[in-house]
Amino acid sequence: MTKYLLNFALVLTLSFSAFAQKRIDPTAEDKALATALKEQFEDDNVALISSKDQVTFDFDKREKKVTVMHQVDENMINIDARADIQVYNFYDGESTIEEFEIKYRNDKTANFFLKDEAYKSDDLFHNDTRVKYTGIDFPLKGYRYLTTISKHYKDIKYFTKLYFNGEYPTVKKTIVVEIPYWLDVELKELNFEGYDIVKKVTDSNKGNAKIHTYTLENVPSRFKESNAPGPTYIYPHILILPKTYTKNDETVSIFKETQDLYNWYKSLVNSLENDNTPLKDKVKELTENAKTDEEKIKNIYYWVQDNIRYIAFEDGIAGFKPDEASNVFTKRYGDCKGMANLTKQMLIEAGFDARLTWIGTKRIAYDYSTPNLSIDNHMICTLFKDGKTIFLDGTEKFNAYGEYADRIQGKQVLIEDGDAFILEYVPTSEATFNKEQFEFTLTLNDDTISGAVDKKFNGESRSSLLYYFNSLKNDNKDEFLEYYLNKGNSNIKVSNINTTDLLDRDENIDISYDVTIKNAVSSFDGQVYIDLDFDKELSSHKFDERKTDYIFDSKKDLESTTRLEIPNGYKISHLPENISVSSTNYDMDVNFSKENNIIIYKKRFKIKNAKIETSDFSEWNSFIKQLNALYNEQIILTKE
Amino acid sequence: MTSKFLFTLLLAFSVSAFSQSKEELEAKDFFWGANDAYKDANEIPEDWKNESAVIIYKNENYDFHKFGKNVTYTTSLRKRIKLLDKAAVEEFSEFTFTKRFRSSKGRYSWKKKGDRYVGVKIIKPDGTATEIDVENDAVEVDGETKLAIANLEVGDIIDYYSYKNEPFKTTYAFGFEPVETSLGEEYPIMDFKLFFETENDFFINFNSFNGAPDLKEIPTEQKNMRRYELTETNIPKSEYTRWFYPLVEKPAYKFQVYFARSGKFEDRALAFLPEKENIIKTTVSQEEVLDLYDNRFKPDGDVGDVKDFFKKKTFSNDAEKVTAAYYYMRHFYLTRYIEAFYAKEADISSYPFMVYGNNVVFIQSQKQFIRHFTEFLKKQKIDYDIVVGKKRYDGPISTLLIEKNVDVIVKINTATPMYAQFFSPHTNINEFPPLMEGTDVYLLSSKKTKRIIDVIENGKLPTSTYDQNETKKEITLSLNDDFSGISVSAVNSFKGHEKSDQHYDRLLFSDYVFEDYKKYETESWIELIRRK
Repeated sequence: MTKYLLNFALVLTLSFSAFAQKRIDPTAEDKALATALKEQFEDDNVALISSKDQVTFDFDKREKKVTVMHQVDENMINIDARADIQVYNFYDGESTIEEFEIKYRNDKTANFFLKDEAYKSDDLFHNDTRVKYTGIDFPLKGYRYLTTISKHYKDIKYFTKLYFNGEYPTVKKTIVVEIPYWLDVELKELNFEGYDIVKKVTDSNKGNAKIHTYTLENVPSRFKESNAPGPTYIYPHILILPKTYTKNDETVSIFKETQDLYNWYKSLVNSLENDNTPLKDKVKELTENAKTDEEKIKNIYYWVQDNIRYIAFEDGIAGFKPDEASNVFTKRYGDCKGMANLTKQMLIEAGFDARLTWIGTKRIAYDYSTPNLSIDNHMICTLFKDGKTIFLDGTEKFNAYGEYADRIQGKQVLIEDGDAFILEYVPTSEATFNKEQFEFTLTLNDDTISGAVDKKFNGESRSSLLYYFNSLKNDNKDEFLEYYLNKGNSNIKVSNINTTDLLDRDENIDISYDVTIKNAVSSFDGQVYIDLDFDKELSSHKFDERKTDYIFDSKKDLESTTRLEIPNGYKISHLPENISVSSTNYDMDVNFSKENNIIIYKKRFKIKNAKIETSDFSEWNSFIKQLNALYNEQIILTKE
Repeated sequence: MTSKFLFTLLLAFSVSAFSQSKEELEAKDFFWGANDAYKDANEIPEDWKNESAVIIYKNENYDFHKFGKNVTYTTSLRKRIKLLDKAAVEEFSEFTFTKRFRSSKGRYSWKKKGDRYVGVKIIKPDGTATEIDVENDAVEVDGETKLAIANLEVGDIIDYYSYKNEPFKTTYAFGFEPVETSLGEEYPIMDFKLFFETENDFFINFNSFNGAPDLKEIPTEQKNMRRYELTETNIPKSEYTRWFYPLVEKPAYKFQVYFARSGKFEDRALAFLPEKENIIKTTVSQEEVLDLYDNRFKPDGDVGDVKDFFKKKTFSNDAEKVTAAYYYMRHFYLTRYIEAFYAKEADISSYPFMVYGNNVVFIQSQKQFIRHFTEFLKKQKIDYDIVVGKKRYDGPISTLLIEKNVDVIVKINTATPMYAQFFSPHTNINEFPPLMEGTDVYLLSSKKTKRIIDVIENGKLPTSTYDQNETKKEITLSLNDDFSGISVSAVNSFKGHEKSDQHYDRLLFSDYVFEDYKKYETESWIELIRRK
């Protein structure tokens, strides 16, 4: 009997839900719109018919802080046959999600279960970021949902920017910012060139605020390309610069000038106790036998690099306030701020003038002329010595003293100077500084190529290899070196490997070894076909469909020379044509020549600015095509 | 509230708080207390100085205790490791664990929770030991506790333990998850101890293989309590290579523990249990296999639909009949429902299986397949054996110990014997897992009456040859006239065991399900839904 009832109940539920479905299935117009949008945005599965950001400000009298309410209303439509996406929003100790609503197109609430979880990041050990999210499904093409998410910021400092481009393409994007008269906020427009952004400023109904409205149509979704420049370089956006607020006839600065930003950073630093007692013995140990000041500094700098693990606690104010140097020292772990502070305190104990320094890495397009919490993301230490300014970054393991990682080169830094601050730039180095120099001296015996190889690594090519090598398990190190040199190619046998000290970061790396290569040569009918290049660098760096600049992790300079001795009784009957191309961002050259009975095959690939820009793509792609053709071509020797 | 009431409340709270940490202190004392023989063990052998890390002492403990239906299952692990490079320091810099959790074993309990206690100590090269204040150093997020280990450097020894106490309730027999592992692990081990403590109602299957030491019983003061340990020294680190079965070649041990209260519940335990709790079962005999399986695999199932399917067909021999029946069943009992599964997963329908009515036969396990398929064979009066075997990586059938390791297929004694295995969408008749090929097996059959399985014999499964599993690629290349490129056309063909992977990779369910509907004249799920 119960089985019958259960079945009946099931049938009822199924038919009921089937009935309810009809009211929210897509209309004919929606389906047609979905088809049209799919043609326009063929790589996306969901589009936004409209997306509207509404920003309003308020004042928290108790905390004396300007608060922000940011509401986003979106009208989502499925342009594929079916889509399953996540709707989510992040928040942390300084913000709350006040509203998170999802409705069907008929304005009835859709019952999706909202999850609230801690956001786990690979880079951060602990943070206070959480995410509210749910998965929603669009079972049919043209299916729609209406979402409203409101986020409240307890302090305007943490509300940094507004973008037009999001995860999904938008037919009409509107950003509305209502600024009350008591608040002075600059809405700085960045990367607007080339976009038809319509701007309007009106008075609010009550007449007590100005409403700034920005509209942009047919906004594509964000690029999903790797090695792309940071978003602040490529997307049009509004940088929020909160200057002052006026309450009770008193005008208070928020971040009116760089000095205000510095003041806030400094207030966090000033609250540190800086009791360096635990460090004193170690500093003494690192400096007492050093002959020069530079040796003392290096000992301290390298000790921090080698002995402090990167474990980042970024919850609440820990995201901005450096950890006590004594803590980082005793725990033997910290983040960039902790390591910078430890470096500073240890250098001070050794009698040097060291300062904390804020910086935004290459990924961020801003500098300190626009004070805002998102303009920097890193902290290093500055040493003033003998009229020179030297930067020390404890997070760059195996970085040599006086050398700077590409990600900070050319960026502006904010150095503490008591109540004042100093602005400087990190010097840049040329591509040749990171030179990789390979020399192959080879002979041909029957169908096997053998000989000696010497590889030199300088600058950043050296430090990245050292870093990787030293992160391996002890018992894997020998194996790795072999694998690194033969590229996992079972046709290449390396032996007699000699290296410079792979723990010495000041010296350039020099690896020499003997090599035997099989299956690179085919000979028949008195002809010998030789495939001479075993590395074939850049062969896959074609950017046929790419829309953003391609960013390399550092400037590159590869000079690879192969000398092959032609065996007696043979002459060269074919060498591939030389190719080259040169421009602002690169100098590329591949060259074949002959010296007596030796073929010289030389490659010089220089990526001068660590990037290939979209304007270069056409020329670059055709060079890579030529390069691949060259790699596929063989040297032909003929029997005399 | 009167102050007296408040006082009692306060007292009760502090007592419970005190008693909670009492177990924690006992755990700490067990590992690091006065009886810790490894307190000052800091040296490592010369041979292992170039390793990434060396485990000076590894100790795994399993405690089984009960009171009526309440089981308390305590496991713990202790490792004392010397860290010799940065990679090892990185690996042991962060610990993540759950302090409080609900056991997923037995009956659900809303109030009973398990505890996990973690202790970490660091010993510097000069011998000074510092205990990490786990309580204060750890951060807890969403019930998960994370600990970053302070002051850890290359050359240090880290000594940590993780102690888990898991209480749960169960009326019926309960089998703990089997443990099958080789003795070695990622780092070489100087000293290893595996330890068990059990009492009445706990039955243990345990055996050591490939030269691993045997489990020894340790005398105890109490009659009902039993203790066992396995110790070994100088275990080299395990090298993980391909095409290699560690449990078959390296020193290893396997065990499984069952909780079964009294005679009645012991019978219900669907496993090979030792006769008495105080005997450790090391092997399973053929008789015991017959004993457990004679009832489990007896023919049973409604094969009326097969009979209907056969009505209009004729077959020249039994082999043909069995083949047709196997593929029919693969559709009728499995692929027929695939559409409905997708409908459920895609949220298109919450109860998609309704359309099939109430008496659906949906075969979901080896056991169900065997019973149903042999019922069909029995009705058709075709002779068969039930094959009981193990996959090669689990070792030979003679070393059978863990019931979960068993795979069961059917051997049909047609003119040339055929094999049938529990189907999935792409299995074929006369096919069984390649990992069972060539292995020794047990064959179960009914000799005296056709109703019960009463005979068990030795057998061996055949092996396929390399040409039966051939992958052939015929590639035709032609150069363009201007030598700018090549056109390639290829025909890839796969035979035997190579086929199923290809089927899974290349076919979507829609590629074959509709073909099956047509072949067997059944209706698709969409059609059934529409009719209703």
